[in-house]
Amino acid sequence: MTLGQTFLGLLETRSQHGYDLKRAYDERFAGQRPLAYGQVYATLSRLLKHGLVEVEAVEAGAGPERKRYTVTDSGVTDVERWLATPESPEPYLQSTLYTKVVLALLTGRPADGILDVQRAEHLRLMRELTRRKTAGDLSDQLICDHALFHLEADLRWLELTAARLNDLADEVRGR
Amino acid sequence: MSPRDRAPAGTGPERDRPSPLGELLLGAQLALRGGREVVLRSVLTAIGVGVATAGLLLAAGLPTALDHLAERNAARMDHQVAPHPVPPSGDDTLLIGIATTLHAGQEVHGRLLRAEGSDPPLPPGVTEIPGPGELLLSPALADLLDAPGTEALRSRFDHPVVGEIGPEGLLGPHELAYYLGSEDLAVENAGIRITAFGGEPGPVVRGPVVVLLGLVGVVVMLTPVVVFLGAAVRFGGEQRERRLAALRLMGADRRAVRRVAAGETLPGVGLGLVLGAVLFYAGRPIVETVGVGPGLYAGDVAPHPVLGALVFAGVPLLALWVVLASLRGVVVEPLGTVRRAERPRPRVWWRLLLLVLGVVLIWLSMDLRTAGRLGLPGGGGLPMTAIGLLAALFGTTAVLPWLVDRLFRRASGGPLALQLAQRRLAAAGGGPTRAVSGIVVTVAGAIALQSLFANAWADASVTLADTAQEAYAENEFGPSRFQVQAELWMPPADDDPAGTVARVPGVEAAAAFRTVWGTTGDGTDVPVHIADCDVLRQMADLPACSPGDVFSALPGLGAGDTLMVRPREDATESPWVLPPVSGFEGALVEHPWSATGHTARDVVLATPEAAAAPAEIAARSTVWIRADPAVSGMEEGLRHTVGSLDPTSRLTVPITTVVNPAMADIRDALVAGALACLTVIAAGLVVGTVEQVRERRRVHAVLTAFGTRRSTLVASVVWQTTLPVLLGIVLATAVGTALGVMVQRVAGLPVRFIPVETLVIAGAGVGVAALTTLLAVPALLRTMRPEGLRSE
Amino acid sequence: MRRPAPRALSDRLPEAPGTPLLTGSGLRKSFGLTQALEDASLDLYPGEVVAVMGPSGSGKSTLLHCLAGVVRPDAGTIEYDGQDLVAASDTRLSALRRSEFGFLFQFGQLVPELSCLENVALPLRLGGRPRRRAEHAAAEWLDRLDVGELAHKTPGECSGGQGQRVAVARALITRPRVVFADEPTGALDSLNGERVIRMLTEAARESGAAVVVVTHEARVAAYADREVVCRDGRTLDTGGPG
Repeated sequence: MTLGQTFLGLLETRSQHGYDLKRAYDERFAGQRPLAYGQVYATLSRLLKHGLVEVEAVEAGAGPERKRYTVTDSGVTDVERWLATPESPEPYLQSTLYTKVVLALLTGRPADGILDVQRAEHLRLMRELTRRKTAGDLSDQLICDHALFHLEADLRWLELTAARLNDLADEVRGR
Repeated sequence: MSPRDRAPAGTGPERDRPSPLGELLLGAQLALRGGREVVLRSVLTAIGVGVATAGLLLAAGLPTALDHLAERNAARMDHQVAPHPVPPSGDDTLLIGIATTLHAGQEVHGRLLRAEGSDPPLPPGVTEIPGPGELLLSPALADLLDAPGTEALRSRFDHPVVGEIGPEGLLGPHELAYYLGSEDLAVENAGIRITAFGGEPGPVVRGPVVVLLGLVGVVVMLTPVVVFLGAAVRFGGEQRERRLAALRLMGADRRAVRRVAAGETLPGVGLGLVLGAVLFYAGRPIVETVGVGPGLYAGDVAPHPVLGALVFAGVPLLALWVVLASLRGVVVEPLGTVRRAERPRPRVWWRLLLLVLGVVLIWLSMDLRTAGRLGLPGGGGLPMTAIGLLAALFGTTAVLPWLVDRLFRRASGGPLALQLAQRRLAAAGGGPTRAVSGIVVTVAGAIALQSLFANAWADASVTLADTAQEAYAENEFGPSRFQVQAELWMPPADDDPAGTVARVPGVEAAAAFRTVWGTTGDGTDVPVHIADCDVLRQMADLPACSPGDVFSALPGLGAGDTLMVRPREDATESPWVLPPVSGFEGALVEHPWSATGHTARDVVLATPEAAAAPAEIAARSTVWIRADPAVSGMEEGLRHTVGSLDPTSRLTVPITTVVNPAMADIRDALVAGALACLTVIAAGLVVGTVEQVRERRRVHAVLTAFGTRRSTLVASVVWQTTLPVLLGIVLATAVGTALGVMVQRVAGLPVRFIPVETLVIAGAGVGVAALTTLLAVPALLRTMRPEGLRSE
Repeated sequence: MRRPAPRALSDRLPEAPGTPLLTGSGLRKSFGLTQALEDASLDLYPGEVVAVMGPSGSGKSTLLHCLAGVVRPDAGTIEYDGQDLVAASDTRLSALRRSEFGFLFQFGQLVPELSCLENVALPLRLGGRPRRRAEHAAAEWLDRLDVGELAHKTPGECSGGQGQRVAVARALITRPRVVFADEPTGALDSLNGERVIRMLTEAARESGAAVVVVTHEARVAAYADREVVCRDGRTLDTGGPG
């Protein structure tokens, strides 16, 4: 699912072929594990089916790699909504958040808003955990503390990212 | 294997060991580049060291100044070195007449001069003997004559001024002195023949007493400076301790840190020595403006070489000692943790011991002195008294930490501001205690000395009568109730001194007679008083008197006998053949001060017509005067009139009290010194308080945030500065008065208090405390801004 | 999958907000060339605990100082309980801080020369309470914060956490309506920090005091009812982007 929104976001910057889309994704988000072609085309066809992308042009020759995709208005709306929605705070969330931030920067949306919304959501959960912790026994406290420390780590990452947004924007757009 | 190789942390055999000198220099560098606080501390240290150096150089210059004074005094000795018997007049002889007089209680050194040839000896500071009627003045006397309100004095010096007496001929810049050329001066009248000026300087007083008094002075002077330095070297202490901690982290050991700290004060001390020298040389001319007695010339105050060197070596050591003492109880750890070792609670017993020792010493010394058992001249107990005083004073200061601890640490009553102040004072440790100690040493010392001087002064001011009227009444003599006597050695030619004197306002009657000395054939000397019958009748109970009569009952003196008559000793004699002589009953009337109980058997009274004194003999005149002391200016008028008649005259006037003006000067100097010390101590207190206020700026900002009233914090700082000064003043007054009373009691003197001076000092102390507070408050208000809340 | 964007103030206020106790809006403040506050606003409702978060230098401490009447803003309005704090006199502000506000700072707030008991009694004595009664109340507060045994020690003899608890007692002893806490746990480890913030918030809630706590620690902010974020001198509407 997040792959779909990521593609939409990438396509929002410019329309491109499926192959280029895979390259762009691998370069920015995949790290050590590049996308399989099958996954790329399955996702694209799902997006086509939902009317979030459309084929702008088909170049000479056959095969899906010859199609140039572009994002539709509803695709843009979908990206927007996705970006605005905080992720459910959970461990190892950074990859999704990172994708969101980069996409926001790529598509010229305010990235710090994403972080603010996320912080609020994290804190909401932390408040709840804190409340549970203060009311609970020691084992409750320990469990809650574990979650709290992870959430805090996320929040620290959020703060750090927020502080480095300008650098990140330069880097992302410079490519 | 050398120990160095085994050093566990050694980074190599050739690793440099830090040298103590290098650490000192490192410290000095830190002081020069350490920013505002360090520079400020260096400046403060420099001021303290500078004041101490200048003051001590001044003290070190005193022996030299005394020597110079003695030399100049000796260089112009005249009548003391007059040859005896009187040599014949010659080309190189000079006649001098002593014409020293008084003006407003101040001595005016005066000499009549008459050269008897072309090559007379010249007094120092004079290039040519003034001609008859010509005047040489000292600058101070010239200034005095130019000043308004001295018309009467001016009338006495109504002569052309032909020059000035040079400094080498004067005791000091403020000495009133003159030389007046005279043509009447002769060996027969007031003249003394001399062939040269100058004699051996008398021994300058330099005994253990002077050394001890000097010691007391130096100690008393240095105490406030130490207090000030103690505050100065603490300035910016927090920063310094952080810096030193950083050095510890880099591997400096405790000793090295102390050396670096000492090095940090070096620039300040060096600057202070230079400042002290500059202050001394720049301030030396001020010495000339001090008009105590003849005063001193700037050039007189040159530091004794040995003492000067001692000053330049001792002051830096003192400063260093203060720095190291300030680091005592501070443990600099590598991680910036500066722990103030808990000071042991002061124990009181050994401190009291010193005080008791002092008291016992004073007691013993006084006992010895009154019993005269030591048989030493001039009060052999004085050194012991001085030591006792010092021991008692320092005993008191030794008791102080205990007292301060008691008063400040435990105190729990009173308003919040007072409580804050007391706790801060307790936390500040040595600073306030040192300030109180300084005040006690200087002010109590001054008060105790004053008590002594109160007696000395009382002794010096013998009260003979409560009022001038009473004094004049007590001094009446003769049937005409004269009270005043004037002796004229060179009576003027017009020969009516009584008439001249009688014209002075306030003079009711005057009678004059002349005196010559006669020697009978068998060598008996007898005074011959010559006056007309009116006057003679006032001198003795004469049966009858008519011009030409002579009265005496000297055995073997009768008509036709010859008396060899001369105006004074060593003068040329001339024979006088006596007319018939009749005796008289009773005693000769004499001035009570010079009365020797003459009767007709050892005196001759003669009418002028009896021609006792040949016309050419310039006989001494005596004028008896009855005057009304209620007429203002009578005495000055009399003095000037008589002085104008004859500069070599002497006037004897009844007095109510004998005041030694030098004593009053010493009293003033003591008060002034105490005030100066108080000021220096207060300055130290300001520096310490400002420093503490700055260190507490975060606390103050927090207290402000809490809504603490500005007045509460200001009041706490007021208390903080006022408490030590007040405590010091109260203690000093109590201790000083107690010591003074004890010294007086034991010496068997009536106990006298000196409330005025004590009040002046105490009042000044309060003023100084107020000023101190005013200076500390701006720093406080700055710390109360909320900026202090922002973490650094 | 899609959740409605959470709104600030939405989820946890004890009761209906009613009118704010303390309102600051459009606050600007500069120190020399440094613009500490650009445009900051905050509403504080009675009894609520608000965390002010943000990176260092974002102006959160200055915001707290302005709201507490310690620093006067260059522009903007502050209203406390119907009173205009911007225009209030220094005397009035001091009186307010003495009686209605409590303060807690990161460090260095206890007067080093006074004992812990005397430190806690200080605000009462500033308000004119006699010494004996003030210290009696102080002893009770020290006990309540589990530091009763420190009464006669000096702050220098206490650990950081103990010192902060003494400071909490001092902040609450006047039963203030608002407690301002500026990084109260900043100098403490997490265990001690949490203890302090927990004691502060619990004691404040018990006595009905509102708390503004400036912190950069999320776990500390989690003890608040809501948070306000400061960035570059502005407070952010945390309702969502855009």
